[in-house]
Amino acid sequence: MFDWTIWLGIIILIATVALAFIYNWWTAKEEGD
Amino acid sequence: MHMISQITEQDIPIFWIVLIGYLAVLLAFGFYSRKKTKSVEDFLIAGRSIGPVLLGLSFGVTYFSSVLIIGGGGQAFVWGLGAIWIASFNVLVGILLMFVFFGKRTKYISEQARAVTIPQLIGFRYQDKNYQAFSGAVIMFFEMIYLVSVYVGLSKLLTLLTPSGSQSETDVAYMVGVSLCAIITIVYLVFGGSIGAILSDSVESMIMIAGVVLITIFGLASVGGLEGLMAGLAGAETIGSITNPGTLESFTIPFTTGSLTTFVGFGGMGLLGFILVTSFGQWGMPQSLSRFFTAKNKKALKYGLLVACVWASFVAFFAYFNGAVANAYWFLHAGDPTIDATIIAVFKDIDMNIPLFLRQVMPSALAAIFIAAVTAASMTTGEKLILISASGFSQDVYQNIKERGGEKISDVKMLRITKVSTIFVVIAALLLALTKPEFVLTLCMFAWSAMAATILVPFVFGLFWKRGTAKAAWVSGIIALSVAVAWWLIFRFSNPAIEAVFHDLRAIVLQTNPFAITLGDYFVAPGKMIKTGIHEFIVSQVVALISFPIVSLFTKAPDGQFVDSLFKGMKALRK
Repeated sequence: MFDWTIWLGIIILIATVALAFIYNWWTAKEEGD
Repeated sequence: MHMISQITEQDIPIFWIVLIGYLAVLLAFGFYSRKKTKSVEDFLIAGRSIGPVLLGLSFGVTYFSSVLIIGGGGQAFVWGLGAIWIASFNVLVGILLMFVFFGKRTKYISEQARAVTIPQLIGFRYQDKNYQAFSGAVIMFFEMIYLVSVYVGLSKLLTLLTPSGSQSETDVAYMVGVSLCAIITIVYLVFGGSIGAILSDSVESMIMIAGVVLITIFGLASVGGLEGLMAGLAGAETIGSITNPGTLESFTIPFTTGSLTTFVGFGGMGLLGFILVTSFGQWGMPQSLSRFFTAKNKKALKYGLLVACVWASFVAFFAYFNGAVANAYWFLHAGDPTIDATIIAVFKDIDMNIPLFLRQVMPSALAAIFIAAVTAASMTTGEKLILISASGFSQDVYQNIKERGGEKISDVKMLRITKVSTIFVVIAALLLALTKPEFVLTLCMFAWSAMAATILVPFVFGLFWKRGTAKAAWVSGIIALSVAVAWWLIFRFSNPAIEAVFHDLRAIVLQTNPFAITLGDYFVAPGKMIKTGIHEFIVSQVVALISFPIVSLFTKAPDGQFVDSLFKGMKALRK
């Protein structure tokens, strides 16, 4: 379907959202929330 | 033969009903927020009381205003599916990294400084009230110009409203629509200030989700799903030329194999340049940075980040995706004289890609609702620009200068002055938007490069580098602003006289720079920006980035005690 370069763009987008969740989870752990 | 369907006469009242309905909701928000708006802090930064959901949505909408649906769809006409990368990096750099790097620190310093504006914060950090006045004045002027461009952008959308397509009818709809919106904006902003504005942001965010989903559904149905999308884009890449149905001249299509179906297929590094500009530009936008001031607490910033990321990735992805779908649709039907005429029209003004597509694939009544919703949502976008512009005058220039002599202006009086500035900004922008003077329309194109020039580098260094000095802020700010203006005039402003003088220089720059946005000659029109050459944002920011640390190191270090305690406080935020 899509070229791999387009998939890569989509993966970066999804990974960014995932990273936001991971960052929050990680800092919450450190802060002991 | 395909006809571009118009919005039918009987559906036009639908537009006005939806628009007026939305404005009524805004008035209700203003009325509701009236009791909560008692001080300048309430009026400009919602009394630092905003929780995660509203903060995240407000941040997202401030970055990706409803204008994205039109503008992003236009970009994707040119870049095809590769435009999805714009969404990816915008969310990564302009939202995730911006929250992580600047969120807590910005909020902390703004509280220490009791700042309600970004220039106040920068002035406090460098202990320089003159720089506050300087950047405040730049922001006041260019934020208003930016507002004019939002208003003027609506006139394109409103061309869809006129069944006859006549210019005079469009002009009347534009005049009535924009005036109505501006007057209601004044009333409810004066009542509700930023609390009302943030509430209306949440409505805009919902409208945008509904908008992009609707266009995707109708769009994909019209091209026959993803297979049709790929077939249409492949057709656009290989068609070569189409015939102008009016003049019967052959029109060369600039797309080449892979240009719409792969990333960086077309124009080489041009798309990358665009991504850089729109992603990092966000770091210098006062209307976005000041969202952090409004956060209730650290938790609001923390979860606001998640709301902003999820919302923005969804909306931005589909906004760009839809632009590619529209492109596919046009080229699936190439050969039809009406469609060919449309394709040429879109090449002349890529912002017409989505509006013309809507008119083609949506039922007339639904298109009327859509146009009303985007028109109304643009007003919401305008509110923040208005408040930032007004505070640039009232806080950063007026109050700043008045209080030098030790005179203290009461909060009640300042609130009144800020409100009067708000009214003045809206009226000035409205008059400019209605008369559309040529110089204002050209200034719109680099309004935000100018704002970022005086803010971005001093702000970022100020948050992370103790050694940064006020003199460095001045030098980098003034040089960046001058470079931005000069670069734009010399290399990117389309004007025969300037073209003649700088022709050779332009050619050299275009040949040697890797970020040249080369889209052929299709976007070159008198008075319009030439989309070739490095963007003035990149050049001016690089100059600022180099000059700031050098000047800092050569000037006297700032007061150690003050800076130390400020940085100590910021460091403690991590705990």
